[in-house]
Amino acid sequence: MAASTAAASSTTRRSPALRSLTSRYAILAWSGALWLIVWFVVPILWMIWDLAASQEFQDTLSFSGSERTVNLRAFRNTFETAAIVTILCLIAGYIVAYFLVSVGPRVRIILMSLVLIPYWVSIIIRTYGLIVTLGRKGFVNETLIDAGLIEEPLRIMFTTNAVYLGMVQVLLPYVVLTVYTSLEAIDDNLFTAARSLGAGGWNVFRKVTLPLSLPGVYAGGIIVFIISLGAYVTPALIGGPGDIMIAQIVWINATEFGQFGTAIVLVLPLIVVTLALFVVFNRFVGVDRMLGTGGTAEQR
Amino acid sequence: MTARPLAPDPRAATGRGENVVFRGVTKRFGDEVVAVDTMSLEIQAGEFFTLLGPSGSGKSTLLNLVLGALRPDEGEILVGGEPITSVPIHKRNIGMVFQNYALFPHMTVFKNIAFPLGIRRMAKAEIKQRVEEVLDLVQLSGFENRYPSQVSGGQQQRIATARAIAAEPPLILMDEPLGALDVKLRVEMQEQLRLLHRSLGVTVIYVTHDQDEAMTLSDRIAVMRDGRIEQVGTPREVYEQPANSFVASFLGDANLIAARVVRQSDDGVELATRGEPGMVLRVPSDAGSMTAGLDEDVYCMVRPQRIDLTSAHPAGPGDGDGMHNLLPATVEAAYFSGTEIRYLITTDHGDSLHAISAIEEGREEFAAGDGVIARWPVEFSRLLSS
Ligand SMILES: Nc1ncnc2c1ncn2[C@@H]1O[C@H](COP(=O)(O)OP(=O)(O)O)[C@@H](O)[C@H]1O
Ligand SMILES: [Mg+2]
Repeated sequence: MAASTAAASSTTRRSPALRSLTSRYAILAWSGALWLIVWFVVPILWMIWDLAASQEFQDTLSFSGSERTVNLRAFRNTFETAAIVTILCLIAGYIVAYFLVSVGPRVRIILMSLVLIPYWVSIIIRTYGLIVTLGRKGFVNETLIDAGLIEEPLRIMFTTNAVYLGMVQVLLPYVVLTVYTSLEAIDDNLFTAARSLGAGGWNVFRKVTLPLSLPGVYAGGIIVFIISLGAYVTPALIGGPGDIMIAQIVWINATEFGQFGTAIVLVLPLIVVTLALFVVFNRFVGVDRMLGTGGTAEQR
Repeated sequence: MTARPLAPDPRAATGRGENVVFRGVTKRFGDEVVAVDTMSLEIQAGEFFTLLGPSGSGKSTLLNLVLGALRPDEGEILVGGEPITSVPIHKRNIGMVFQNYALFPHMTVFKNIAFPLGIRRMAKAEIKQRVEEVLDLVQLSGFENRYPSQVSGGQQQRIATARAIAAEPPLILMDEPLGALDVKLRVEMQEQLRLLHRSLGVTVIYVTHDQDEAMTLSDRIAVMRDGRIEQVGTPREVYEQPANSFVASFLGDANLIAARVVRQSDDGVELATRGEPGMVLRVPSDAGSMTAGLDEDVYCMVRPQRIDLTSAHPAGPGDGDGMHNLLPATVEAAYFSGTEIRYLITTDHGDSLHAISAIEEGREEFAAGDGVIARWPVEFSRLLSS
């Protein structure tokens, strides 16, 4: 039964996609695709083709090069950081989004601006902002010392936790926006219906609100996870010495060592994982929903 | 979908419904809108009670006050004698069928209907049995594993009804539940709802702006306008003895003839039509909620079905048998509709009236331009305030 439902839902989902391929908006989609092919797909394939024979490409691929341990650690660190940042963003972002839909329209506009304005500010400026706030002589430490709560400044900056904090701060808006869109799209009558059927606040959330907002949760989670995989600026600026991300290693190899063969091999897993996530996500939720045009989840 | 007899609900016990009392209930939105205006009303236990009124008359607001989605600004609502305005919505046990059904899109039909039962921590086996029971009651057995998006509008409506009755609430509210269905299906569903109400024995408060639907379904109807009740009565009462011209025109076609009171006596009120020549109309003395003073401007109301057209009488109008009102008129148009002919006529004194006559063997038929006498029994005239 579950299988037949899944089959039925995937056919109903595919037909609009097929239709959209032939619609008059298709030209926009195809021009976007062309752009990606010319500036992204072709250069990468060309680099692989060009470098596949090089020693460093072979070494990195077979994990026999001298940098083996460093690379492996960076990979583990990258995925671990991305996972933790994603979970933290989902929890914090969901709470903010839930709050946004429950306040009145005027407060909502103000709060929405507070979420969005930082989103338009350069990531570097925002990260430096964190240093100003949380550094040894930062606002938080000074205040705590003045209040007599601590004697020595807390070491917050240049640690793994600082990386989490910095990345969550930067990526939070994605989750807030996707979850907000999902929550907004839920018919208010569903809540009234659930309550009239005997459900208290917690049951309404557990059985109606949360499941119907899952498309937004998945979308936000995947966006945050993908961006986190490629994180470079935040770990470099405020991370500790152990917080090396794969993107940093790729950068160093390409620009300082001139080892493009190594760089391209290290990049490939990230691209593969990103594409795989997209495919999986599209199967279960649909990219249209991810972009916020979907509305409520009809079936899952 | 052919209708088969409803399976009797084994738990159906007559008198399971509860009465609903409104005491001076007022609900405002902002400073301007008074959606429900000091409403007082009593709905009997087990009654099928309909709130009928045009869009914006406050029907949904009133329903939401009972449900608990809104709180009244003033007044109290009692269900089964208990005041409920301070009881939170999820503790009220009132079933609600929404106009858009509000089915949970992420749950199967089974899960939708089981929702109120699961919340009440009923045992799994019991839930299964109860869901089967109500699905049978709304004739949707076998639909358990579908999703709401995979069934038709009429079926969604019945699922919504099944979900609302699953936990056996003594009171069920329905806000234009058939409004989204096409006419043929709507008539069929009306029949189903009536039978369902009878087999459950619960109190139903039903909202519609469709007067035919209200008359077909209801034990009693409250006609609403601007947050107030204009009249409460059985379908027959509100149709045949409307309290005022609003109720008269809202419930079916009504001819309203402007007139002036010229004489009052025990066996009736005599009116003179406005315009020239002024014609005399008689109205029974008990035929109106109003007591009209001499010279007062009023309406004489008569339903189109009651007006009989005859060829212009050689003896002239006005000399009836005292049992009929007669108005000379000219046919403006005649519309044929299969079983009846609807005439638009203009009386000699200048009023436009509708007359509907069944197509029968030997009945005279008229065409535009024909001179006729509009004739109807005095007892079917109503006196309404203007
Ligand atoms: N949430 C609301 N906010 C402001 N005004 C409302 C709201 N709900 C209803 N109203 C107003 O109250 C009046 C009655 O509305 P409603 O009860 O929905 O009427 P009905 O169901 O009879 O069409 C209307 O004037 C409507 O505009
Ligand atoms: Mg309404």
